[in-house]
Amino acid sequence: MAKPKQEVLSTEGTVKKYLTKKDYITFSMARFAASAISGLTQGYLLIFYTSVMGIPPVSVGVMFLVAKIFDGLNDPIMGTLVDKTRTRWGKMRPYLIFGAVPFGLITLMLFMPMTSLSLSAKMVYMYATFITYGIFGTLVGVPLDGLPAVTTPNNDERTKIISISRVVGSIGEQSALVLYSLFAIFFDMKNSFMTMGIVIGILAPIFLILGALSLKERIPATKETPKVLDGFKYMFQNKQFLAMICANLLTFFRNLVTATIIYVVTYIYFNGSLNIFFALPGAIAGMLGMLLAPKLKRMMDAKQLFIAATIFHSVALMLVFFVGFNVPWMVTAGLMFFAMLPVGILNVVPHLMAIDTLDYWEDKTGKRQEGIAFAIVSLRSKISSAFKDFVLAGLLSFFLFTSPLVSINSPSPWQLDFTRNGIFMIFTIIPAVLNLLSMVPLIFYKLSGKRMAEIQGRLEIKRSAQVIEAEAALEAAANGAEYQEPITAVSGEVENE
Amino acid sequence: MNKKKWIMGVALILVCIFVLAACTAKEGTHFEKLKQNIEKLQENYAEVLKNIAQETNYRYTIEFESETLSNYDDVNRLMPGEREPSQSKMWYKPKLSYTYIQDGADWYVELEYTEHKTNADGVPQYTDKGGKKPEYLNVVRAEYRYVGSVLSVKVDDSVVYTGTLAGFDPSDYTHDILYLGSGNQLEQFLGAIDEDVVYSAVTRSWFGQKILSYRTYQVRATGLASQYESYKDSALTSGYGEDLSFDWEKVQDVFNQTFSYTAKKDRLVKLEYYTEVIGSYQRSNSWYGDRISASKTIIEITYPTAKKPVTIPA
Repeated sequence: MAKPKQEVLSTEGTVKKYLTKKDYITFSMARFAASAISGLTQGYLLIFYTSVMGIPPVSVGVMFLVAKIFDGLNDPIMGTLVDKTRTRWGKMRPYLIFGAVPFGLITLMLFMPMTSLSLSAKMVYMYATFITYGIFGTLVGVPLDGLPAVTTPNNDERTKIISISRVVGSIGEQSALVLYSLFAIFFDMKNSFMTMGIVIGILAPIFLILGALSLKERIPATKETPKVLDGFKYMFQNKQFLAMICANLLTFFRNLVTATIIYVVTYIYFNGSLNIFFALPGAIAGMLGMLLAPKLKRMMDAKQLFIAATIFHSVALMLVFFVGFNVPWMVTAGLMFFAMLPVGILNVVPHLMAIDTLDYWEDKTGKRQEGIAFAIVSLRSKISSAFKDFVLAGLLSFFLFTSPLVSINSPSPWQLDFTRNGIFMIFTIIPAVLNLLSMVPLIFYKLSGKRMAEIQGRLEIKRSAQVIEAEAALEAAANGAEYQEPITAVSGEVENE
Repeated sequence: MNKKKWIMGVALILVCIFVLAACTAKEGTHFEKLKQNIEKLQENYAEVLKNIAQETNYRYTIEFESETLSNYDDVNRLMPGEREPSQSKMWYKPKLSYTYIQDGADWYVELEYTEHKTNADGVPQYTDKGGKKPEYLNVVRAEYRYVGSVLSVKVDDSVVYTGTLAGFDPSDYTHDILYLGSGNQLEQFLGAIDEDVVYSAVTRSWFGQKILSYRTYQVRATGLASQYESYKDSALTSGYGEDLSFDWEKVQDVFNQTFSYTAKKDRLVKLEYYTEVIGSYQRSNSWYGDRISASKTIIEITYPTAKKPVTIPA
């Protein structure tokens, strides 16, 4: 008889544990490493290209737009590739083990100041390295995300490893921030970036490989890789999901705030090492907001929460703008802490709304298409990121941001007042006003708290019936009848060890 | 999979097209566009100049900051640290602020000079070990008041001269601050644009403001006595636009200036002037350029309104 495909009970009747402390640590460190790389590239690549490499902001913006959309479309292809892989190490670990070093190397290459090249050569270098970075990032990122699901059949362990590694990962994302603030004290901008690229590019693969070597793939994942086209079909069928995606697509304006911090500290306060005092409180405020979100969700529905958080964020940013930057930097940084509080909520709400739209669709059609929906959510996130960089680069160009023509060891200290005011506006009033646009698609989002309660009530009844059915099937299986696939979340055989 | 390969192929072709499109325009097109930009800028600039010449009552402040690398060896073209690795860059950073008020034929000037302290060998002093915070010596104030054809000059609150404008000669006094100038300094920032050295010219309109900005590049051959020439036809440069590069081995230094004029309702309200000198130096048998001095001048002009008249202080 086939082994049950559910959590395995030990002989004492307790749920068997598969993961050791070491597994939690090594996997979390792998997540830390991957997040450190993404934190480095998301936070510093634009200023590296514009202020060190001397590439005009518009050209960098176009490159980000093209490369990130290409990367977003590339994701499902990488997913398929991983799905079709069969090796004795499993399907995911080989990509982490063999992809980590090239991923680290390409990260290191991204921050090599190739300042002696001509502009055309710099552009070719920029496109080639960033697109390659995107490919390796997906090649390593997809298996890294998928590994917890196949490393243990124990649901509690899986939840625990995901939660711990996510928290450690969010700390890892800030590591570049800490490094830059530290290096900026001792080095000029060019050498700070280069050293960060070298440190993270060399250390990250070590942690990624250690994480991959430590964990074992115990369950062959059966989840099908969703197709992007199916995702688009689903999006246009499920109008609530479409409204949610459109609203969230427009939230990219608020990401301008964090993306501009490095320009604010460099060109407004003339001190790159202040970066940590601006970005870290924002990150902490974001985490606090994330913790607050579930509590607030009990008081209002996801749509109300989204609107309230968006308005709070916009009003607080407007306040920072009106206070201006001719005040001690501590005042601006302190005000930014409050302005960033709703951002954590706004990071969580799309997921809550996505789940609501899934429930709505399940209630309406009987189908629950999580894979497809989250593939679109992930694509939306990449497109938002591409738009954010494109808009930021475009605005910098509009505000006459000057890239240095000659490679000098410090960025030009003199940007026009128009540029410095423009940078402060990109940091405050521009996202404050444009953020409000994200509320417009929500006019068409009808999943209010009352309606969701009704939907969830109906679904609960339906699911209870399904559980009774499943229990009956299991009972039949225990009585010798042929085992049938359980309908609960995780499936997959436990690997013989 | 074929469909996927096809999509990937198209995406890569698009990427290549974007790369090619983003590369620099042809030389002729580049300079033709630059010429058009300069013409557009000059039209607006002429309008702004015409208006400021007609003003008889206004006030402006000048904030000037500069930094000069005091330990750059310009004769041997050596950066600090090249001869003695432990030597760090020592920037000399004095500051000046200047207020000018024009009220008909009368005018008033107040200027303050903040000196960066140096030791007996002329080495700038700092309050921190990293050499980032200059130690300022003192602030010297001067005041010129020209009212009813009588000039009165004060240095640090003591009157040093009263008489006619023509009768005043700063060299009669020991106060260095008097050499920094009196009268209207605005004209020196409002000269004609030398098209030959203009590297870029842009005009932006933003909420009723018009911003005109242009940047120039000049280069000179090795030897401190050599003269600056335009980047355009110099044998010391190659490329154009953002690809402009310099033959650092043969270059003494590169001088670049950025002018920016902000006009509100065709009235000049702000003028910014930035300079930067990039000196050449050798490291590991290769030649490079890095900043050896820079300056920043911000001029803000205010005009009288019914609520806030512009008058000479009593």
